[in-house]
Amino acid sequence: MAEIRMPSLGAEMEEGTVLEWYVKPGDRVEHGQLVALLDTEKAEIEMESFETGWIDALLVQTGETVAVGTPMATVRSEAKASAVAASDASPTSKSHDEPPPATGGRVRATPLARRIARERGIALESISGSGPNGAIVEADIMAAGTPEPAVISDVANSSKEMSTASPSRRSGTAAGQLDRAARRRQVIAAAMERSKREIPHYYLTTSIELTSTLAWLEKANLGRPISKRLLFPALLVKAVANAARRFPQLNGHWIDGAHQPSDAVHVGMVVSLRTGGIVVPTLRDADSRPLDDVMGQLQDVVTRARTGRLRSAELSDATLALTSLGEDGVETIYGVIYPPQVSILGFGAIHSEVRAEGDLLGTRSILRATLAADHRASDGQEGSRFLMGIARQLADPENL
Amino acid sequence: MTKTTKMPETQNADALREILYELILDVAPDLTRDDLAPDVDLRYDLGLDSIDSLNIANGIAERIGLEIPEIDRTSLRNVQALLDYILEHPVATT
Repeated sequence: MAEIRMPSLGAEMEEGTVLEWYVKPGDRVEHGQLVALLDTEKAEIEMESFETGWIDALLVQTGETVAVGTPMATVRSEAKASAVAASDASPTSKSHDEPPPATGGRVRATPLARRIARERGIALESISGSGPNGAIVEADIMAAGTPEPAVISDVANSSKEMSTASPSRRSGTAAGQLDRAARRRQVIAAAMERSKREIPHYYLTTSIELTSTLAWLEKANLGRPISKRLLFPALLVKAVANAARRFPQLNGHWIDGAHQPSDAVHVGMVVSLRTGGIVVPTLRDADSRPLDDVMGQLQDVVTRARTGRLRSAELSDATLALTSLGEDGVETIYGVIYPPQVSILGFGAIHSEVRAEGDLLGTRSILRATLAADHRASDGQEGSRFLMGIARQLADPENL
Repeated sequence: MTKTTKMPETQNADALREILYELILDVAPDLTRDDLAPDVDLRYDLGLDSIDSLNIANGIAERIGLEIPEIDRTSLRNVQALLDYILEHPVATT
């Protein structure tokens, strides 16, 4: 009988916790179908099945933590399923094959979402669902429910996706919420502690003059419908990716005491979530894709990161990361490298500065770019050239 | 008549405001209606970024038929400003 096992989603991942089963014994599963929501050391991830058949038994219960590679469910190829079920998995199960019941004008919601909404006194009617067919899932309740402090924020996270906007998906009780928030904080703390303990960061900052680049962008957007417009962050991703191609010391992973440069450039884009915390979807091969393509990719993954529709298969290890805290944010950002990556670029908000040009003073649009890099893998001279390479790329947007 | 709004439902501000709420909550399902006071700054107060803003503008184009130019989009920072802008720019259907 085939098995669905706890997936490994990167060298960092050692174990994962089942937060919710989407299937129950007897359910049909297809290759690629989402079968469970997992909490891993990095993120919440919707796990896909690599098997096709019928769920025979769930071997890991909701709330249980198991090591990577542990069998989580058995899948049989014929329809007859055994009656074995993980006892507390069934009540929270839902099938992604079928829309949740919506009889009598009832709002679509998973049983777990209903229960939490009831416990918290939240009206389902006030919530928009991000699940299949607009069904309200647990994350929607969490996101719309009790305001929470940003338990996870401003931390350079991994290149792993997560499925929802809520950093605090949990089993539904108040105590569970605290445990969940505290545990996630611990996970982030551990990763960042490891980064600062193991990675000798060095930092380089430069100011990039963007006046003509922004004028180009404005002009480029004039004739475009909204669906085809370019946003400045897409230019940033392209500039970083194009420059990274020439600086393999800053692009790749530090593994087993040595730098392993990457031939490909996969940019991890740090996305802030309004419910607190961050997700870092990966923009694959950003160096070799056209700018319009990168813009589409960026808009797609950022939108889905926030509306809870990212999947594990859409992600892969980033080879470096990019963080920016928004158009109204701070001027300078010093990132924390997420191991095993070896660099992270921080971009502040574009702002105006008075600059001298010859004998004249004028207002210019300025972007402060900061590189945090691993001194084991690269030196300041390379880092400096990388940063200046990004500036050069941005100065020539037509050729991005 | 040479100028009318594209959809009947956009003919009054209340209906239009409802559409805007729906569009914004589609883009930001973590927000609720209560977050969207007319003068709340979508970017500064609610944390919507340029991609969210572009998605809302795209929704306006699809639902109402109004393509907000990029230079205007970046200056429309709250529900009231969006509403006023749409009312000031009826979509010609001739």
